[in-house]
Amino acid sequence: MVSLLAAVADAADKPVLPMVVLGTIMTLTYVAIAFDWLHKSLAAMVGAIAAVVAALVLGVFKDEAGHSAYDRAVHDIIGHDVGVIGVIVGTSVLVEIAGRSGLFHFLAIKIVKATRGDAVRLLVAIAAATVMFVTFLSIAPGTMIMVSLALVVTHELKLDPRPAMVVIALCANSGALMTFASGICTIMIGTAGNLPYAHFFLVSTPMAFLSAFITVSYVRWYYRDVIVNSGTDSERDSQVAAFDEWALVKDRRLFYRSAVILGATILGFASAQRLGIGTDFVAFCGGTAALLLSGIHPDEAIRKVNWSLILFFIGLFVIIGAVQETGLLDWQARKMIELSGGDPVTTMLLIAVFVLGLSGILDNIPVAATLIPLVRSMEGQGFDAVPLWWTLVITANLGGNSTPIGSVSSVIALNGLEKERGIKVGWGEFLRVGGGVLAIQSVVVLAYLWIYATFGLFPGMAAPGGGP
Amino acid sequence: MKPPSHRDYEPFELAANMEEDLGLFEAATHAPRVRLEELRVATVLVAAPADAGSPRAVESCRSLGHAIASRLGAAVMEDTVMDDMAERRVSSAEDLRQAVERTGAGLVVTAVELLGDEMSGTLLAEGPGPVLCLGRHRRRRRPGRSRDRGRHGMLDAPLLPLIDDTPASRRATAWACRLAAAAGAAGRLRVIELAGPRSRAAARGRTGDEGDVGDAVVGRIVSGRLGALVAALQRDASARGFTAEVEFRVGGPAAVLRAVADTMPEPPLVVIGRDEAERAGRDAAANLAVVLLAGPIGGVLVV
Repeated sequence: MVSLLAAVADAADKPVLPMVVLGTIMTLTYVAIAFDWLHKSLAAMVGAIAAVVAALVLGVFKDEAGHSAYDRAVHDIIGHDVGVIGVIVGTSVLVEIAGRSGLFHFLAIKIVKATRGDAVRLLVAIAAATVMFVTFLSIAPGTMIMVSLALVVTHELKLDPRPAMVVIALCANSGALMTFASGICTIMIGTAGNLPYAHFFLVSTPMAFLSAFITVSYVRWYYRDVIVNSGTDSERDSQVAAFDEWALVKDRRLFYRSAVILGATILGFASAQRLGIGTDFVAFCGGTAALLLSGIHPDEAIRKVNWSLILFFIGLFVIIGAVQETGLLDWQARKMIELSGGDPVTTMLLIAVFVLGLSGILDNIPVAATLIPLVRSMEGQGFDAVPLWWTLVITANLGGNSTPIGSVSSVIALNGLEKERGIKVGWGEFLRVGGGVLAIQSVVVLAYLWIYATFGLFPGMAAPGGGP
Repeated sequence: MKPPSHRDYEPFELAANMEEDLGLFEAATHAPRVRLEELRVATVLVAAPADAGSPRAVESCRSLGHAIASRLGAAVMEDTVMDDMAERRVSSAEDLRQAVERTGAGLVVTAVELLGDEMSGTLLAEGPGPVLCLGRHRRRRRPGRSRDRGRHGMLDAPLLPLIDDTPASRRATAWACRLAAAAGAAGRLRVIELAGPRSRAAARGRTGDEGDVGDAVVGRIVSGRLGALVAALQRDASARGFTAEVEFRVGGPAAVLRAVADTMPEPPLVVIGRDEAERAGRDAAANLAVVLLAGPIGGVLVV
């Protein structure tokens, strides 16, 4: 609130009261989400209604004639972000069908069999499979499959499930960095920054591998006393060899079709910019092809779209759009640039630290949603936004590693572990292991970003040294 | 009322998927290897007495008997029994049992229109070995498709309801796979995993809930129970090049009929193990095969 009031002094070009009121509504909404006062979609919708009412009363939404212009303001705000919603709806349908085809379950058992039941190899295989599944299916469905697999397999092999669960929780966030469509946050930022699909392989994919490697190494070290094999090598080998992956197959034809449609959609994402089409169109084509060719009843697949998340997004976009109209985010962008002395690399690193810290305690979607207009505003003030978009992609995803509620993958893994096996990984344990991982990852991320920015390695960025 | 918290909601909005995944992986890690039996049927007995009623049903029965015999590499026997039945006015399953024993047939093909509901029901429930009984519903003849192809199409796409892994359900699985495999790449086996009373009781035991438990929990139990059979049939489908689709439904005969109505464009042939048919209903009277025969299906093969 103090910082909001401080804005008053500097914001000579915009009225102060709307900034304070709408900034407070946004802050209260985030607090309600963070402290679990309301279901997050409901919190976003309540916040959106409050923001629209406040903006209308305070005259934030005005057209050129000075009249209230609800349609122009609210619908323009939502319309501006409709691409993100389109990508999420399209990929949700596709991922639901591909995830339920049994293909990934089949591969998961094949991967486990390749480890021959060895505890360390199993941990590494689980990490690799998590990254791969999240890459193709996004966080929630990919994590769900891996958590189920790890719960059952560790039980069978009489292994402590905690290392596997923590690895899945943390590596899922690395997987979300792999490509444009691997995570909701990544989709949001990639769409807002118009980041080409192929550029992900140059910037965020190497970081995904690096961060996953850090995770596995640290978790293996942290749980070194419990990652212990039971039985002899040959006993474990024969036990794992008896696993029958064919029991997971529901429809072999759907396997192949899902793989082809998923592959074609990824190719579509990669070529969208060159073809001059939106990624939301590609996602819709993928979702429609899956509905047409899967043989699954369309109602069943459409019902599985995460409509709660869509409502959450709409509410969030309206709140942030209304706040942006007041000029508060422009002011914050200016302050951020001033704080860094106008140096692009310092600004980028400041944002990185801020997002890494905030994503641990707040859902990374609102963090990204708030930072996106801030980066846009910096871009409007002449800043090269390319390094900032990549900073957001990497830090918003990895920032959730520090706490058990920082990312959806941690919530799924830890709840699954407690519900199925009655084992609780508390805040203290998770902070030690996840926080330790994030501490190392943060150092590596900051160094990585600094190297990329200093040596002009971000594809499409202005020459190093360019500032506002 | 306190609204649902996002922490309750977020992971558990997909609780059904998680239960399904756990059930699948439990099936994959626990399922014993099952080898489907090699069917050896030397003779198919067509029980279609010429004076029994509809000439169309007699003709359908004969034609289907020949079609299935060619798929199984078996011979067809019809005249003797038909004469026998005509002469002796066969009126009970026991008569047919004696005829089957005399001829040593591995499969009896008949039709409900020829034997009537009661006798068909008795034959399916207590009959001598495998019995295929044609229902009253016929496949629609499509333009450009021969009458026989339309009639025999149901052999290429059998429907297999499974409730438990029993010797009878393994036998039914072997029959269904054999029929689908005979159609090569065009073969399409539909499998419906049904939650029987034992699975529902096991689900209640797992949750400690005395009342109705969620479908997802029951589905997990069913996946575990049927994993070995599903693995066996999918391995067979992969080796022999036909398609097998597995889906889970809660309920008895009604669930099978709903699945038929929802997803099958034409009346199918339902293949079911004899003790499975008895197990499907909540009471002994609700024999699945008998109930299905009155529904919109092409025929029932009880083995």
